[in-house]
Amino acid sequence: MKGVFIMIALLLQALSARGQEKSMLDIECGYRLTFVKDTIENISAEEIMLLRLNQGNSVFFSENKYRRDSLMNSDQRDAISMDILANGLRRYPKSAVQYYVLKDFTAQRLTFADNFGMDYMQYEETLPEFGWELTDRSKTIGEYTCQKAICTYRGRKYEAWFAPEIPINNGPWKFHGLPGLILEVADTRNHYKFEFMYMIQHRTDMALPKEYTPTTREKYMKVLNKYLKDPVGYVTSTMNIAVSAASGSKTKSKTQRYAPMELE
Amino acid sequence: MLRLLTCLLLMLCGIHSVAGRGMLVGRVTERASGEAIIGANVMVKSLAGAVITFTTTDEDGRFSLNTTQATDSVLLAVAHMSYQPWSLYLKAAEESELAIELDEADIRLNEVAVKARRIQAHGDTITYNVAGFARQQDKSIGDVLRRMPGIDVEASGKIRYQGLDISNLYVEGSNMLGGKYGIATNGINHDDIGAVEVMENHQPLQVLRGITFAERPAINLKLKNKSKATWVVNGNAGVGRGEQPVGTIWDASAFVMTIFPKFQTITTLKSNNIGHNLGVQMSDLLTIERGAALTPYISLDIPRPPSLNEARTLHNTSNLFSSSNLRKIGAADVRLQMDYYNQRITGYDATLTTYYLDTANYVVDERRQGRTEESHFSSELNMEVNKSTYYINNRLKAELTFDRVLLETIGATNVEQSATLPDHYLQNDLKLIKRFGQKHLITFAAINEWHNKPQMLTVRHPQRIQKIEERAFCSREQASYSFHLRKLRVTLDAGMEAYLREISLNRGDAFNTNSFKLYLTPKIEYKLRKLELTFQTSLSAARYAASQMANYNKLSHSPQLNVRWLPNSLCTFSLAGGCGDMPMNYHNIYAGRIMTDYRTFVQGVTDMVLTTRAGITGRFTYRHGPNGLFSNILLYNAWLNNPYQRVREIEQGNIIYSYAHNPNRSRLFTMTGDISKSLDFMRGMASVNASYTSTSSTMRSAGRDTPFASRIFSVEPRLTGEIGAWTNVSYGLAYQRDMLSIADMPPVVTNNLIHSFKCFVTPIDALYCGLTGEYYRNQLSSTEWKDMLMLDLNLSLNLSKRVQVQLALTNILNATTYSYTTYSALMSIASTKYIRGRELMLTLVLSK
Repeated sequence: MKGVFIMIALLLQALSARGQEKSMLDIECGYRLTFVKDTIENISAEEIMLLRLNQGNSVFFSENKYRRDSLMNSDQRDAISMDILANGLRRYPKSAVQYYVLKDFTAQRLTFADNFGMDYMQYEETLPEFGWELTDRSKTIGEYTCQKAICTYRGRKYEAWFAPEIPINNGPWKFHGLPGLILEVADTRNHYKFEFMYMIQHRTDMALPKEYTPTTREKYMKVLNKYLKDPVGYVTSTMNIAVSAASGSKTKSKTQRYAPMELE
Repeated sequence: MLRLLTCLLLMLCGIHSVAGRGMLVGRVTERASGEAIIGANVMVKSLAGAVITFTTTDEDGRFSLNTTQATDSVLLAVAHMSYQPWSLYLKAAEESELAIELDEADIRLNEVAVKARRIQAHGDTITYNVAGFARQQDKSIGDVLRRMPGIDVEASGKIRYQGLDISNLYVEGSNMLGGKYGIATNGINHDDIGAVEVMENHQPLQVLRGITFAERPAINLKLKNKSKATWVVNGNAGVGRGEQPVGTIWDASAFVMTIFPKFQTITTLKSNNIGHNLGVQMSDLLTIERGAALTPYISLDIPRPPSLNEARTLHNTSNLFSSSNLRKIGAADVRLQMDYYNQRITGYDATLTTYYLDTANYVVDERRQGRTEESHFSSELNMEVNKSTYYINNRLKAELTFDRVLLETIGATNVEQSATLPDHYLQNDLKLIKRFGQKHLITFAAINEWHNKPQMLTVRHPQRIQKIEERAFCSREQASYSFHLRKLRVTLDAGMEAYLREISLNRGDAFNTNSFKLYLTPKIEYKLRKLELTFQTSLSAARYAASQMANYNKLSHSPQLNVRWLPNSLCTFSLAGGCGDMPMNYHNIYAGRIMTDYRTFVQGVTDMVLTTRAGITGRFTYRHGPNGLFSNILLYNAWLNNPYQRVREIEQGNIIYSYAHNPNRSRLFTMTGDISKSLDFMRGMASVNASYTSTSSTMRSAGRDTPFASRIFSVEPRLTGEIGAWTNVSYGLAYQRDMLSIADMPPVVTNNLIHSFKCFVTPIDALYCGLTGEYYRNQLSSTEWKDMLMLDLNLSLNLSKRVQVQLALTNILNATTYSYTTYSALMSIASTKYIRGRELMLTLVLSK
């Protein structure tokens, strides 16, 4: 472990000699996402989310989703017997959060990739403006003093806590644009809450684990709403298969009772 | 509109020349090169430190900020990951244009973790954060493990997770200690461990991963960075004085551990006479069933109270040395383990034994004074290559024990008994597994064991000697082939087992029992989504031969079905059932009568018949890691068809046991359940363990069949936690109810209750004091109870980071006797034991 840090330090030093590219930041931040899975029964779930970033890019995803994807798409897939695969997949339970958020600060672009069943789609937009409003309230998260900022974004009000001591203008999900890393952010209805857990040095590729079909945000939102209304119906219609109960009675399609983060 | 335009114009000009009113403009460059710095945060902060407004620098390193919101003096701060932070005090609404030069710096972010959850779950792995559970008074990692929900630790160091024994204890991923992992549980300082990882359904053999179903959990202790690749040393030395027995008391230990990638060692040295049974800590916690297990005939145990903390009762002098070394040579892990301990235990008690008979009860009143002296040496050389395509393991193990027991009985008869019980055991265990592609697997295993157990009992007044020479050799060879067909795995095991045993009583003719068995076991494993099915049936042909007896040939088969359902990562259901013949019980087969103590004799069986059994086990587990909720229920029911019935006769004050050919049934039912929940708000835990066991059988006593049944129910709730910042407390209750019913007599019921509590106060970081104790309430007979309170006081002061001084006063009230009643098959024993008196001890604790 010590050796790894020395290597990272040497690498950082070597890179810092190269003008603009200096001090490649390779960091992984872990966030705990607590969200209400069922807004009617008020059942909440948890997910470990990772924000990996370097100087100009970042990617945000669920740890379990990433591990499952990596396992499914590994080069050895053919070599691995389905049994091992199944065993590995059981190790990383099916993630409730499927999306990846990629931010490119040089091009000021954001890529959002998601999947419903076997339908993989991604859309691009410009890095959103959150219109952050700074307040003078502060609190300590870990060893960092954080300041509160609020914003309204696509139908939800958010309260964020950022650390000016960490000059990284990034955060979980699509959030960014505060003068410090966002360590905690939650919507005022308490449907979604991201809490900072840890930060470590970590090098990574800023790429999606597999191919997603490009689309627009409008189309994506349409599909999302259709899926939320009738997930089974959606999956069966897109996959062109029929799902029916063994008894012959019609399968009851259960409406997904969670509200997405973006309401507009 | 005009004003706005003017403003804009002014602003545009201002970028290069003069700033507008309340506007701060500037350019941020690197001091060394003069190059513009892009993306630096420029913040206007209040004097309290809150960011009022901010921006980031553009491609040319320029920025502009409106400071009109500020009413007071402000701080202009510039921050960038690659540069040293820069700041400047400004008057509010001051207009200025700044040229800011930053010095290069590598702002290294500390690797931090915030509010690390005490328990985290990632798939099948549960991670407990040690710091979240450890208390200042904890000594070893075992003390901390006891406080983790879902985990139970016995005094020997044996660990159970969700009611199942763990299959391995790894230290930093390496299996250092094998079955002697109690050394680690009781020896490793919790301060060296960062996290405890429980791997559910762990398969230790890589070659079998993803192939066979694994059910047992394993634990990995993750070292803190400071304890990796270095020598970890800690030790303590304490002396003091005790009041019963009167004299000097001591407790000392030294522990050395190092975990390098290629070389690892754990060495321990311990000595004490304060009631810590070191023999227990040395027991092999993973012992596989021995094929040549000889058990002693002579039993001169010094009875010990069943529900009193052993450290309060044991009068001992114990010394222990243990060293485990692991070297990685190429792909192989070579482990050499050497252990030695000697222990002297003395005991004194008064006993009233009642034998329940149909006509009248038979009562024996006696006082006993005894001593055991035990030396034990064991050594193990283990070579293992654990790869994903093959597995090689050879284990050579030797165990030598010398045990001498002296027991003096005064009462109805005055008797002096002494026994020598040496034990020599040698085992070699070889296992080879090779995987061909993804589908085929071939296994070869050979286990050879030799066991020698000469025993001698000498009784004086009148003088009688019982000598037993018994030795056995067992060889088991097994080959198996298995293949994979989609979700189906078929395994065919074939093997042979040879067993040779010789016993002679009082240098008489040797009595031999030999057997040879061939077996074939087809096994089918099938995985259907979340359901795992295993069916196997063992078909065997065996020939049993013994001196002066006709050969006994037996064909048998024992089918077994296991079903496990894992609907999600939170819960599991499993059900297993099977039936068949039990292995031959050679222990009872000999010609003649053995004196096991001065008044008990056991007559051998000269006939070979097998006991058949059927059993069913059901298990349910549920755990929610993040919530810290763990629970499990285990149900077990077994039926035995015994060909013999135990017969007890009393002849001239002697008890004679023999076995009569009288097929009978006995039944055993056990139910255990645990539930524990982490209480994060008080850094504590609440748990309840409950168990119920019922056995029913018949015994032939005084010429009549006497059915008897025993039922034991116990429940143990426990609560630990912190009250305020200073105090941590724990409270536990252990309740046990024993019920013995014999034939049509009214059942005998006893209740035992132990309240145990601990309260530790830490007024300053370097100091803690604690009051701990137990309150016992035990039923002696239907009307009589024995109440007892035991209190201890502890004081500890950290002189430095590495040195700690502890003062302990145990058994403050100086209780010196303890009484209890126990019931076993057709008898009751009311006993008074002499326990350890008040003790004062000063200990110096050192750690590196």
